[in-house]
Amino acid sequence: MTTSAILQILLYLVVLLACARPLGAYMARVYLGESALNRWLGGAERLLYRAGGVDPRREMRWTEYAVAMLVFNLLGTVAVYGLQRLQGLFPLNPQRLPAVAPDSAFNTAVSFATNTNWQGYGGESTMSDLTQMLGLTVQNFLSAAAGMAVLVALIRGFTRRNAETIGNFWVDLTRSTVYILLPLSLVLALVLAGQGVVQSFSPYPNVQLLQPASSEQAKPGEDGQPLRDAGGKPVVETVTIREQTVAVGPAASQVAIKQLGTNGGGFFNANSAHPLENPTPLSNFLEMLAILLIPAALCHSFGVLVGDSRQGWAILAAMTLVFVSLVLVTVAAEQQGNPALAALGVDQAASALQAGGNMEGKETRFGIVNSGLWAEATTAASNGSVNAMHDSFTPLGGLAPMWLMQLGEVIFGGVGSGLYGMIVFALVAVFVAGLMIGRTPEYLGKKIESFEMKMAAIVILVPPLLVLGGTALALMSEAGRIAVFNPGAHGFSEVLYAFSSAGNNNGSAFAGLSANTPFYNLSLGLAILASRYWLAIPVLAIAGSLAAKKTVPAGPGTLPTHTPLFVVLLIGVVLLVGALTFIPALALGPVVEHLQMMAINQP
Amino acid sequence: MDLTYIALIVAFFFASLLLVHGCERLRGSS
Repeated sequence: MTTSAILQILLYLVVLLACARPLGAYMARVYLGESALNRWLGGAERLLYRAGGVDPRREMRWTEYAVAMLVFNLLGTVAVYGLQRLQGLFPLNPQRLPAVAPDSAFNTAVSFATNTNWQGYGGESTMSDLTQMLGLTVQNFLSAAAGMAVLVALIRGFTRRNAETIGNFWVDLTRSTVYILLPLSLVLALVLAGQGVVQSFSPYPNVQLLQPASSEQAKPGEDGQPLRDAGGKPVVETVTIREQTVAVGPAASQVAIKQLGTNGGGFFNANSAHPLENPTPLSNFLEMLAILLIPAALCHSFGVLVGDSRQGWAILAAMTLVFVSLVLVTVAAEQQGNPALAALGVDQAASALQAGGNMEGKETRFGIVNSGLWAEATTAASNGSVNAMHDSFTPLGGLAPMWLMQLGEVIFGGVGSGLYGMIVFALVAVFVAGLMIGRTPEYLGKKIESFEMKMAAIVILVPPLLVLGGTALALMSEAGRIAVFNPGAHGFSEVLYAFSSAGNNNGSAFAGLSANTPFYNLSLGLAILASRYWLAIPVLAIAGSLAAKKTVPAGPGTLPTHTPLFVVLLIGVVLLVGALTFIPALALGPVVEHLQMMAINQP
Repeated sequence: MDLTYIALIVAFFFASLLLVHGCERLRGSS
């Protein structure tokens, strides 16, 4: 680990944590209806409610809240599906791209409506500008806002006593979008456009290459098949390319929310490794910061809303400790490089002229640290955007991001969804502590009883079922195996990564897996749906149950949940569940691959 | 094919409504 690496990681953490407090306080005021924007834009907010026939003062029981969320997302999913299938008929399609295939449209619709943004397609070659903006970008806002709404409803479960209701879904959705996501995205989009992220409705321009590129390729015959000589060998011709088509579009506006809303779906296929999506060191830092900004700040909002900011800091501390530990694993592993290359005499040492280490699949302009840090941030949060190819990481460097997803996307996690997942783990932690000392567990003044634990069990068990069951299903079926490009342990990792990503609503891909097939579009799509809604529903049920309870004053036997002891207990529960569930699977993939890599140097 | 995928989406959300109903019944019996 170089000094430069340590300084860059420290800079990132300092800026992130410094922003968390003011933004968290602001978001808490938004949900209390007390922020300046609530006052300035209150008229527009009321107009939206009137247009939608919503009475913002009407409170909802948890079941009504859940049904509103489901119906809203059902309509959004069907709308995005329809938009993709009909994009050839609509305007803002300068490249005249045809309709998206049905299985890919299904996968993309559920992926964006659930805040997952798994992309089996290449954006610039598949989606029209209208689909990118009206379908994908709109869902980037709404899916993030829906996650934040569920979190706020859960927090009300702690703050209310003897109540039947947990708020109004439409109000929480609107406030999250209008007062938090839109202003932040507007500012970030403008800054990114200033840095050179493209924002255009033009057709793709053709440009002359400064340096023409020549390559040899098989000469096609009239039937399109390669011509062969008398000996049966393909006839080879030299082709010189002098012109390149540069894909452009309204990228800056989409990139801003894809980072802030922990969505991750890139405008371009290469995501934030693309120079028009992430052109400068500053754009890279800001995009990376935006990944964890709202999830980190929401921890402080949580503390403010429950009336004890120490509760939020304790959860943020637990998240940060796990995150930093795994950042160090990945950066150290990548900086260490590949012993197979070292054996060939390749210089992998960091110097003033090169980043050193394993640079395969990474942008030279970002180097080891910013690639590793981004990989951890994007998998800690359920973001899924990438600025390097995770498939090319060293085995241990790739294991850490994969495990971050498998922990349930609770280390920061998605906006809203990460924190409500972590709060569920906190309930399990106090339950475990209660078992140890023989007391009924309490959290924030609410007794945690059998119903809450049953719901918590659903939240914790559904993702592993989807990940491990999906991986097993894919590897047992011909349709699943045929899409794996790499044999052996690495191929297993590619499938495990895909289902870890879909089964935890992350959306990043390991590459090396031809996932745009009916089998993967369908199976990953169903995993994406289940991991979003079959977790949000039990969380809302917990909210409803807690809101109906009275508040119990803290006594001498109450476990304090703002202390370092609780932080350690919470980390222990998260890591233990993650380790027990996934280490056997990881042992078959990245661990085996690491041992194979290390064996290369053995006599 | 389009109707198949739309029906699949609708069926999933209907199953999710059943989960809401099931959780509420469980709460009532707890």
